[in-house]
Amino acid sequence: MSVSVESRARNVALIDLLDRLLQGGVVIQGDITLAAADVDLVRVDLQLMVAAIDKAMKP
Amino acid sequence: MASESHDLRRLREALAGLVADDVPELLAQARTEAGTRVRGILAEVMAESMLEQARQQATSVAPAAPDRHKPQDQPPPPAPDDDEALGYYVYGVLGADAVLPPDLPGVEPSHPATRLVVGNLSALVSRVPLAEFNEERLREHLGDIAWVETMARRHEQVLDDAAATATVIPMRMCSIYRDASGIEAMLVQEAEAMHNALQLLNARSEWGVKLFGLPLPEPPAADAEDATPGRGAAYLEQRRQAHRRRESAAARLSTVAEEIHARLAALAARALVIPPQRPEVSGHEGEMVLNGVYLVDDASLATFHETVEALQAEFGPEGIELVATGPWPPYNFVPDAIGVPA
Repeated sequence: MSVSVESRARNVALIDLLDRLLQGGVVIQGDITLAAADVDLVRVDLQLMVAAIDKAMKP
Repeated sequence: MASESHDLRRLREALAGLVADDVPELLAQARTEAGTRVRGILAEVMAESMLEQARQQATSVAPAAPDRHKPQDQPPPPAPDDDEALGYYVYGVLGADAVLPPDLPGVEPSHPATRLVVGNLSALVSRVPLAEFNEERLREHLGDIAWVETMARRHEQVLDDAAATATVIPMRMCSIYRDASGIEAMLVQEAEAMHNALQLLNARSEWGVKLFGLPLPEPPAADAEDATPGRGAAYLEQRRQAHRRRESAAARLSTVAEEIHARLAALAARALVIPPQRPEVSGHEGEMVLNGVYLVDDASLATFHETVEALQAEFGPEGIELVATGPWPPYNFVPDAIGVPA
């Protein structure tokens, strides 16, 4: 059976979490909020990091 | 390069003069020496960067928004006060009567999550040191994926725990107010949008369903070696067929993705498609052809899961894989950007 329901907060995939936390949620005009450009950088960083880990793990 | 070859010659001469037994000791000494020098360089770089930070903090101007509680002409507070100043990290908004679990650690574990009640609404908040959660430090932190992950998981944990007993409208990560009055003003201003959202989200949760296809057949590589005369036509035909196979596999995948999304959306109060994740981060070899999010009634949850399983059984033989995640706080089903006009 390849349908899998992943369990909650502690071990959800970081990418699924950031998909929501950095792209979703209410954007308020708080005093300090994340700039969209910075958020994009996080996603780029994450992709580079995951790619690097994958490369390092491969024999 | 002259100096390099000179160095090499010296090295060779020196090595020639060594007995083999001396080499390990020599290497160990070199390693120790190199370690000392690297430590020295690191210390220098770190000292420079700390100095730079101190300089920036010392020269940074007072906050753009005037502090309501102090007269305008008062000089900015001295640095030690600034280091201790606390702001509010906002996780989400809920009804004033919502019941929360008693013990909710915040993103800064020493400050638990609490609520700020305004009328019929409340904000789920915890105190954070502004010295760490200001624009500049945040931008630096965002370059540190380990910090981002820690914060993301703590933020999620607070909302997850709250969602167990209450309906929560989640905020985007790192939404921070300097003082409570800003939050109060926001809740007053946005009361209607928040009430509408609470109504929409009540007794529902967000679920994600990702659909992966098999990797598409490789596009035919240009075969330079096979230039035999007379084989040209057959070769071209082969290439055309490979191209058609790839195109029809891609078309089939997108049809399947549309059908799966439509059938899941029919069971949800709201449904959306968010951008697919690239194979480098999705953890799957196959291409992600659907990254769907669904706001599902608690009452329909069992049917929703059964349908995911049924779809997997139906389309699985074609090599697709469905992955459901959730329940999530409804990050993708919140009101659009809101705020207090300046």
